[in-house]
Amino acid sequence: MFREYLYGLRDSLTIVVGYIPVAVVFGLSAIASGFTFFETIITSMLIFAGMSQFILINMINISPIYAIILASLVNLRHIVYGYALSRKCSISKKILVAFGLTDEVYALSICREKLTEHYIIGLITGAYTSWVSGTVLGTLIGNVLLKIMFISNLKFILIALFISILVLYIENVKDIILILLISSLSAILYMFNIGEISPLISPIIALILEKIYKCRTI
Amino acid sequence: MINIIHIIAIVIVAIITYLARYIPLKHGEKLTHSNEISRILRSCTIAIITSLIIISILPTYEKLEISKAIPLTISILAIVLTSRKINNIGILTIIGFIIYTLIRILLELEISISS
Repeated sequence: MFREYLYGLRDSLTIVVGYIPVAVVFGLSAIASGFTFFETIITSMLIFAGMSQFILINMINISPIYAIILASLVNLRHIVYGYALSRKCSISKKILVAFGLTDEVYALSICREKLTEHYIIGLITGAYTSWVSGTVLGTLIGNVLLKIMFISNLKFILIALFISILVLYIENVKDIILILLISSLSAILYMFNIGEISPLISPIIALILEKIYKCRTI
Repeated sequence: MINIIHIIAIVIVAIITYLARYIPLKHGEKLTHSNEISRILRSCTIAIITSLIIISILPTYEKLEISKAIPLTISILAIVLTSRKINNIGILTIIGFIIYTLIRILLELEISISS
């Protein structure tokens, strides 16, 4: 039992290496977006989902309701993870496992042949600790950077992050078509001064494209 | 000073995120898995991120702020090209940020020297 936990903790090192830079960037971006040290740390401690945290800090100053909807919408993909894990192994500490079920924890768990809940908890321990400590580090660096650098440069971090996420998401031609469609739509809406609603409309376009793609493959 | 709206938004997103993870874990055996749902959720994520990028970068190009538009374009290209070798989001972001900041500093130096 404890050995499985240690295996999970050991394997979480691959997650830790990936999480720390992102968490540092999150801490920096949150400070640049006007979040306090406390708010930034609480965001990472309670939400523990990178992409939605970035969307939240990016959109909250435009509209808090809008930010909540978008940040939550992006996290709906986690539904699939919980489902798949519950089929793969018996989990008694569901409350704890659910808290740490991120993309990376899921990816490592689902690849393991003999999966146990203690292994998953080991993974979560490493991932969560690195995420929160990376955020603390980023927040501290952010406070220093704000004093010595242009704040507008820090705001670019969010754009850079979204682009980094997007390029790693692209898998096929359909993804590229979707990106081109959404880019055109967002640009048109922006020209009419209603660019802020494009993140809400874009999932509908994605749905339509998925339907067209499905009909064509059938 | 702590912003109460920020705290409320953080708590709501945290609850929704937790439920999205917990409910399928709890009732997974009763649900039917569908690859289509996974695909749709993935496409929606791509769509939201794309629109967020576009509405963030368009103001820079619209105002034709050369000191921002040039570093922005070069750093976006750098991220796209580097992503072929590096798959870590954090490292890609930091590379893009460093390139953006360096080019901006260089451009501002150039402007101050020429003026």
